[in-house]
Amino acid sequence: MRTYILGAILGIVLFLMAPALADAKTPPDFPACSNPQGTLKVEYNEGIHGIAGETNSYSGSDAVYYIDDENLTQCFCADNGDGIQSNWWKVNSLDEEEIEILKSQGWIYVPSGANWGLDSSAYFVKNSKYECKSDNSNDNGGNTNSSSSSSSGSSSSDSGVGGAVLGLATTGENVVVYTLIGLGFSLLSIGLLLRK
Amino acid sequence: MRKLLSSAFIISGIIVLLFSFFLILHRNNPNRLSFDINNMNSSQNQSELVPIGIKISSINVNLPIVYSSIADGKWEATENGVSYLSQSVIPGEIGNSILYGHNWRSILGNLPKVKPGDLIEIYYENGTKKTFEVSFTQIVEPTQTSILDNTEDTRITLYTCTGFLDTKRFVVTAVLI
Repeated sequence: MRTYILGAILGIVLFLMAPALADAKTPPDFPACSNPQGTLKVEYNEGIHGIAGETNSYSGSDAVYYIDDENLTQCFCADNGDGIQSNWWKVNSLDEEEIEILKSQGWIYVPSGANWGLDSSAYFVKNSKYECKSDNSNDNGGNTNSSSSSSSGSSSSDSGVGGAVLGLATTGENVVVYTLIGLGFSLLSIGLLLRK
Repeated sequence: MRKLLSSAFIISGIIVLLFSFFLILHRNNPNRLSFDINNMNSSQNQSELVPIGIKISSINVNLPIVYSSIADGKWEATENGVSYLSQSVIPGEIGNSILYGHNWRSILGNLPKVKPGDLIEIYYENGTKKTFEVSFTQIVEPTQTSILDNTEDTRITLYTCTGFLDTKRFVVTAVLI
């Protein structure tokens, strides 16, 4: 019995520590496109834009900001209001193992930035969604299949917007806490009754 | 078999109880609505406007605004409405005004349903109101503190917790119209 309890506690601790254990090299913090920072490198109010890690091209506005000498943020807003933020992180000295770990964390490896209007260094790119106000919001989408120009790009991968996020979002809700306490005691009671 | 089943129930019960204990701790964590900022320079608020209420018709939110601040790294947060970070500019003044609230159904639980183009109204003590139009919605990490940086336009940044165990922030950016 004591072993089970210790095992359960250890399991919870490992679960909570998992993100820290998997950390290889810490990427820099990037500002959000809702309030972009840095120096505006280029801005297009409309046009077809490529997104790193995506085969499709997208129609909409696009702005690229230099955060510092090595990192950039691209804020793309499709004609239908679907935004894609791409964080471009210049990497010069990562070994294969570190590259694989970062890939597993959702980063896209771009061996050379030259195809994206940047220098020829290797970059990691991470894309995330956001929603933006588009002047062409009556269009039904920014996704096109044509291949064309590339301002440095973005795509959609992790964080969803609009409420479809991972569960347990309302962790402070009283009803959730009380329900869990009730459930916990019920399970414990049943277990003890079965033991008798 | 019966013993195995009993152990499974007991372990599950303990896990659920530990998790609820964690949630209670989390509920009382003063930093659960925070960004990774321990302090913030106060803006020069010379406005006589005093915000007292916020209304977002698209998600049926109509809540009082309560002044809050960051003190010694702790973010004050009301449980009875929306907190206005008093170190940021007054909503409606030039700059970035920061407002936040818990993601409980009674407060900002429906905030992720807000879309660009929706309207947010701020009501003031003198009976006036100002209307803001949502420009962006975005999920960010608490480390992305630039979302709180001051701006040259007149905007409000309204956010709540979201994501697994509230580890992320759902941010709505709206500009004065």
